[in-house]
Order: sequence, then structure tokens, then C-alpha cells
Amino acid sequence: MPWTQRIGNVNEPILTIENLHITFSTPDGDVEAVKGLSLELFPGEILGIAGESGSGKSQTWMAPLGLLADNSRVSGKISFGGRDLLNLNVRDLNKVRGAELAMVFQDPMTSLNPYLKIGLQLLESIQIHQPELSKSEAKFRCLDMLKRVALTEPETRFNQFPHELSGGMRQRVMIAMALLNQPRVLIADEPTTALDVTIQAEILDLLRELQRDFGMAVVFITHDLAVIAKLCDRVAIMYAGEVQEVGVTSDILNRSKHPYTQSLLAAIPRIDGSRGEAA
Amino acid sequence: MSLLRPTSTESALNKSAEVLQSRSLTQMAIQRFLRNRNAIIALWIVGILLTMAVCAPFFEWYTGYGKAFQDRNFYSGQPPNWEARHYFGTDQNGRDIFVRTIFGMRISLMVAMVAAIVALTVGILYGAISGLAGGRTDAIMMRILDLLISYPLTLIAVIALAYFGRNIFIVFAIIGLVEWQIMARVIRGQVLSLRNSEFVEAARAMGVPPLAILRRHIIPNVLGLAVVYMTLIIPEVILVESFLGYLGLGVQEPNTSLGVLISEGAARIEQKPWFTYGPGFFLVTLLLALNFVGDGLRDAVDPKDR
Amino acid sequence: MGFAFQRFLQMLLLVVIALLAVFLTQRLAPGGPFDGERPPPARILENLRAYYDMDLSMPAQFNAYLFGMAGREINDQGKFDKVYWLSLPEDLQRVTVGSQAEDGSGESLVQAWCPWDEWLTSFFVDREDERPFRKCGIVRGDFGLSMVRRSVYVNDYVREGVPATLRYAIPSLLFALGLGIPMGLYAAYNKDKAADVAMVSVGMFGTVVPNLVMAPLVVLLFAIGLDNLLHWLFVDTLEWIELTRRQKRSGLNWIPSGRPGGIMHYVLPTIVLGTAILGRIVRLTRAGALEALNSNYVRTARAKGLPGRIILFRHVFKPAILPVVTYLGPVAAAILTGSLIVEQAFALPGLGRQFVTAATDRDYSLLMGTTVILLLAIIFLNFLVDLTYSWLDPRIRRSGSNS
Repeated sequence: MPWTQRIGNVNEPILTIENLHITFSTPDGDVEAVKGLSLELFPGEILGIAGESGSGKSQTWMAPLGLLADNSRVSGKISFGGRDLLNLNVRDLNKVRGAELAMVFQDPMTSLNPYLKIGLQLLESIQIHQPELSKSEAKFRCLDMLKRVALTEPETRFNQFPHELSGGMRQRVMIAMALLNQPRVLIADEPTTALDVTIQAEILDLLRELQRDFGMAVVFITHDLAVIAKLCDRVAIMYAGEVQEVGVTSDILNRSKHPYTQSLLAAIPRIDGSRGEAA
Repeated sequence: MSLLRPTSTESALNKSAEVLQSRSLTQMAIQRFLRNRNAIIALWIVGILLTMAVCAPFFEWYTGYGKAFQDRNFYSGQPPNWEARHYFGTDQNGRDIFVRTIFGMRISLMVAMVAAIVALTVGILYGAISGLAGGRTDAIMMRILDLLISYPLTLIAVIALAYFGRNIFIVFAIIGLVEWQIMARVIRGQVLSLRNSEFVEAARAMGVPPLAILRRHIIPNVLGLAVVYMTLIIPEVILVESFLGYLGLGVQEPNTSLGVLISEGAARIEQKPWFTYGPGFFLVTLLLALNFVGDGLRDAVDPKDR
Repeated sequence: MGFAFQRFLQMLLLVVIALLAVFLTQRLAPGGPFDGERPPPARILENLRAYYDMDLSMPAQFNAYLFGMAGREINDQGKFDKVYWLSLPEDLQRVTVGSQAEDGSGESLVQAWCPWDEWLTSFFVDREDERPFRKCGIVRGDFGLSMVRRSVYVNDYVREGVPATLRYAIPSLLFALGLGIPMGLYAAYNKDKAADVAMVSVGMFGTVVPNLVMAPLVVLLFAIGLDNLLHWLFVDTLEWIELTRRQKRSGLNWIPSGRPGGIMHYVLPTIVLGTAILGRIVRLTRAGALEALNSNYVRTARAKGLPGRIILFRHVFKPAILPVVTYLGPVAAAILTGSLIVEQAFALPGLGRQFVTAATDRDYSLLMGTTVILLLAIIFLNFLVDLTYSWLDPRIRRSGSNS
């Protein structure tokens, strides 16, 4: 695949979120899930988003792809490729998502359509964004991508249904599906949370390898700090809908002065049984 | 539940504890139900209809029912007539149709209650046995149930009525037997999930005797569901009863039911159309209201937006 | 292959059970065919007794019920005696069905009914020469004599009834499916907008207003309303006369007036029966489509940049259809029960009407005959539904084989 040098100018952010507000209207009243969040994503980096459940980390990254629920109100600006994604109409948005901006979700079992074959779900992704390809060429690329994500027996898997694959295999398929159109940004929303620990490690290694090969920016959302430590270049800590702290991973994890970050780190169980204290 | 800005993590946690009140599941369900405007209106309507049915004799007096019966020939077959208080007209025997409708509704509701209880009992027993027994028995019972659901038990009911005649209690029982399958399936599902739930396992692990588990954990949860599905069974049972009445089976003279009244009306629809208006209107209203209440209850207890 | 075959065997099993149940119900009816206001004269009583095999054992009776018999010998006392199951003895081979062979003195020897090489006698074709008594069994298409009108065969009733019922039952199903599924999908896609509310209301109307209310009202509307409406619209008497004359010629007779046939007769029953089912189907499709639209895999599809139409038809359609397919079993049942009402209201000579008449007249053999047909239809339809469901949902196609 001849496009490994996609990195571009590393000093210019590839995606910028400015003052993002997301509010959900529920029967119990309005819930502000994300409050005035601003963040930058630079080309070729792996940015980790860490936070507990309810911190708004997933919702923040649904916004660029237009995947927020119907009862949400969004304001702010998300700049990508010279456009504001929040103000895009559906047709233009459809050109962007799946092609330049791709997402991998948390639960691979429910994220794949159980009634359709794997091959069809892969093909439709590539055919809608690269219609100039012939059917055999498209299928070849799909199979090639399946090999790239280290899926065994890709030809067989292509004609199978999701329930015939294990969790790890399904997640590999999801990753392959996301990368088919060579996106510049890949958003991974807790991709390993639903998997076994051993498979987790494999998927993480796979992601790192793919990032090296394809050069896209990766946003990695998780609540597991250990994963962040292993994988991410920079990390943003989120709590209650706001970014508490953002910076280079080693800085945050070792030298953070922020109270929330410190309590988060202290909450990690240690093998020697002692518990850290919040400052 | 608003998230407050933490000055430190501890005070943040304290603050959020103040704002949240704990609500039991039942309370949440009741709240959800009360928010459902359609269901509340429907509940009022059902209440009104029930009261009317109970106070049926009052209407008899109000419209001079007995008197009309004496002056049969004069009053027979009259279209709606406001001054004479015959709001829905009179039938071929001079009886006020509105009054007959109310009495018919009374009978229909009575049959519905008894039949619903029969359906409830059979359904709960079947579902509970199937769920508690588990394994092979459960599988066989479920297979039989699947079959029964797809077959028109109403036809069997017709056959049974043809054989066993017009005893009113048999009618109730037979109607009840037509509608129990859904209840059985639902109850069995609930029993199974309860049996395997963690709190029952925990109770067992703590040594709570099985009867107490049944009493304290399983039955309350099952009952809730049973009540909800009761409200779905009742309109179906009313429908079955009307159906049988329409065909001339079921309730006998001088008792009428809504179905019988409608069939009388249908026979004369071209000459005297008002015969059907009264019972038709009441039947549809009753069914509509009961359906909305049932839907509201079901949404309240098991909301889909979760 | 395995799944379909398995289901097929189950279907056969059900058929056997159904036949057995029907047979027992018929035989164990309280009060046989002979209790009634006027018991038939002794000679006929004897024939009837033999016809109904009252003297044989139960298994033999069941066998006769299913397969009929070739004939029975008449002994010296004039009573029916030996049973010939498959064919008559050599010297009596040429005896025609329904007649009795006699020896030279005019004494009867054998009552011939139905040798094994007669198939589907008189079920589809009216064969005058085979009356009166003929007994070929259900499997060969003979449902026996009506218990009330003892010279009429159940087959004759049924032969008229089945096509009459099919003529509106199938169109109403197609109507309900063809209209209901698109309506449900459209409603789900436009949730909470005006279109959605409209569709749901139509659905609600169909579910709540029972057939027995809708049918008479529809009759009223079309028989009276249309006439009066036209009368009211056209002040000019001459025009009105012209209109009614034109009406009669164009056959605008929505309501059957006693004359059989005519397509128009079947339009209204189709609509009445179809609307009730339409209601359910709209609801089910909408619920299934909503569940799909809110699912994670549709979220993935959106994230991939697929346009709405493709998502609807490729991703949402199948899961939306599935509840409808499951419901098709009860739908068949609902159509059959609905037919009882609809045929009563529109005076159609269908299977449902015959069923009701049989029930009220206590004509057990007609009752059971129609029941057998109805049960067979339902069993077969449920079998088809099972197959369709497994074809649509790949998860159960292999019936348990998971890699």
C-alpha cells in the first residue's frame, strides 16, 4: 500500500475541538455531558483519553462523526480538513466519515450486523467511498486488509457471519473495516474493554503496528491507565465532562499535580498491597 | 442529577450524594406511568366505564326502562330520541339500547375478569413449573407452548362450546383457556432469570431456606409482571367473548354481552343502523382504553429506552 | 437441509396428532349422530351404525377413518359382519361402489364402499355415480357424511367453502403485508414526526377495532352511505336515475345480494380482515425497525458513512421483518378466526361460515371435517414460517452448529 507517508506537518493539529458542549434532554431534566471541552489532535500521534464512566469521554468523540443521540444538543466547533464537522450536512458528513475519519467501537458483537456476512459489511464500506474500484479489486483490498489485521483464514471469514467469529476476531474485522479507506484519524472507543486480557494485548500490539504502517492519528479512549501508559504518546484526563489535564504521557503519569489524576493513579491496585493517598 | 464542579474529589462525591435521592424500582415505575399522558387519560376512561357498569341499575331507572317495556309496541325500534332519554335508541323489543349496552358491558367485564383470572392462574402455574423444573421438562413444555400459540384456540373454544353447551361457567373457563399462553411464556422467562440471578444465588449461599426464597424474592417479582400482563389479557378476553357472542355461542338470554348486541345490530344494519352504534362505540372505547393502560404499564415497568 | 427435514418430520407428526385428536373428538362426542329429535328408521339406523363402525375396535375405527374400507360383508341375519379393508373378494370385484351385491335370491351379500385403488374420490370432482354410501377415508379425501343432513357429504360443503375463503383470505394477507411493512418502516424512520403518528394511529385502529364491529359498519357505509351520498350530491333526479342505472350495469355491487361470485364481493371482506392484521404488522415492523435503528450495528453503518437509504434497506430491513415473520403463524390463525366473523357479516359461503353452522347445529362430522382442513392449513403454514424464519436469521440456520 503506497501511502505510508501520510503524516504531514506535525506542528499543525489535524483535528481541533473548540469549546464543545453536549447536553442531553432527559425526562429528569437536562444533563450536560460535555462542558466546554477543547482539544487538539496532531497528525501521526496516539492520543489517549482517560476517564471513568460518565466522564463524557465517549460522547465527545461521537460528536465529530455525528453519532450523538437524538435528544442531544451540541454547540462548539470541530475543525477537520478545513471544515467544521458540526455544521456539515449529512451528505457531506457521509463523505468524511468512514473515509477520512473512522471509528472502532467497544463491543464488536453488537457493532456488526448479525444478519449480514462479514464480507458484505466490509465491501459496502469500500464501495461507498471508492466507487471507482471494480468489484474484484474491492474484494481484493478487503482480503488484504483482513490479512493485515492478522485474521486467520481471511477468505473463509469473508463469507461467514459475525456470530461465527470469536470476540478478538470480530474486533480485528472492525479495525479492518475502519482502515479500508485509509483514514487520517482513527477513533478507538474502548476497543479492548469487552475482550479477554490476552486478546487485549494482541489487539493493542496490532493497533500500534498499524499506526506505524499507515501513519494515521489515533484517539484511544479507555478507562485503563495501564493501556495508556503502554500505547499513547499524549493523554488527556477527563472528568465530569471537562478535560482536567492534557500532556505527554510520561509527564502526566509521573509528575502530575492535578488532584483528580493523582487519585486516579492512586486507585490502581498495587501488587505490594499498599494504597496510594490522594494529595 | 447534575454533575457539579468538584473543588476536590471528596467534596464532589458528597455533593452528588445529596442531590440524588434513592428511588425504589416501584416508585420509578409509578412515576414513569404517571408521566404517560395517554395512559392516564385511558385509566380515567376505564374507571368511568367500570363505574357505569357497576351502576347499571341506575341507568335503568333513569331511562324508564321498565315503563318502556310495558309500552313495548310504542317504543319498539325507535331511533335515538333525546327527550325520551333514549340516547341510543331502542331495540326491537322496546328496550333502551343504552341500558342494554351498559348491562352487556357489565356481563362482558364480568366474563373478562373471571376468564382473566383463569388465564392468569393457568399461565402462572405453567410458567412457574416450567421455569423451576428446568432442563428437559422445561424444553418440552416450551415446545408445546410454542405450538399452542400458533394455533387458533378460539376455534377450539368454539368446538368446546358446541360440545359442552351453554353453562355460563364453562364459557368463562373456556375463554380463559384461550389466552393463557403469553402469560405462561412471560412468567417462565421471569422465573428462569430470577432463578439464575445473583441475589437468589446469594440467598441460597447464605442458607436461606428455599420456601423463603420463593416468598421473598421470586413471588414479588413475578407478581409485578403478572399484573402488567393481566391488563393485556383483559382486552383480549373481552374480544374473545364478544367474538363468541357474535357467533351466537356463549352468554344466553336474558343476559346479553356486547358481542351479542353487536350481532343483533349487524343483522339489521341496513334498516336500523343505530342498533350497532351503542355497543360498538362502547366496545371500541373499552378496548382502546384498556390497550393504552396496558401499554402504559408495560412501558412503565419495562421501558424501552433503557 | 437438516433443519428443513427436521421441521418437515415435525409437521408430519403434528398432522398425525391433529387427525387423532379430531378423530377422538368426533367419536367421543356426547350424543352420537343418532340422538336427536327423530331417530331414523331401523334399516337406515343399521346402515348408519355400520357406516360409523360402531361395532369395531377403536384402532380399527381410526384406520377406517383415515383410509376407509373396501366393503363389509352382510351375514345371514342382515347385519354387517366381516370387514374387507383393501378390496372385495374375487367374485364380487365387479360390484360398483355404493351398491350392494346380491346373490340370486336377492339377499345382500356385501356392501361395497371404496376399494384401495380409488383415490381422492369426489373431493374435487363431483361423481354422481358414487352416491350414496361411500367411505374412503380422510387420506383419500373423503370427510364423511354430514351428521345433520345425512345424505350430504361433508366434501360437498367443503368444496364450496375452501375457495370462497381463499378468495379473500389470501388477498387480505397480501394487503396487510404489502401495506403494513412499508408503513412500519416509514414510521420508524420518521419517529415522532407527523407521519409516524399517522401510521401508528392506523395501526392502532386496526388492532383495536375488532372485526365484528368493523364488518357491520363497513356494510353500513357501503350499502347505505354510498347510495345516500350520491343521492345527496346529485340534486337532479334524472342524473340520479342515470347513475343508479349505470351503477347496476357496472356491477358496483359491493355487498353480495345473494348471487354468488363477483370479484367486488370480496373487496370489502379483504379490507376488513386485512385492516386488523395490518394494525399488528405496522406495530411489529415499526418496533423491529426502531430496535434496529437504535442498535450498535446501525451506529457502525452510520460511522462508515453509508447513506440513509442503504442503511434502511440493507441493515434495517431484515431485523424489522423478523418479528413479522414470527407473527405470521398467529396471523394465519387470526385470518381463520376472523373468517368466521367476516363470512357471517358479508354472507359469504366460506369455510368459516360452515364451521359456525356446524357448531351451532351440532353437526359433528362437518365440524370436524372443517377443523381438519383448518388445522392442516395452519400446520402447513407454520412449517413454512419456520423455514422462512431460519432462512432470514443466519444465527439459527445451522441449528446449533457454531464454529
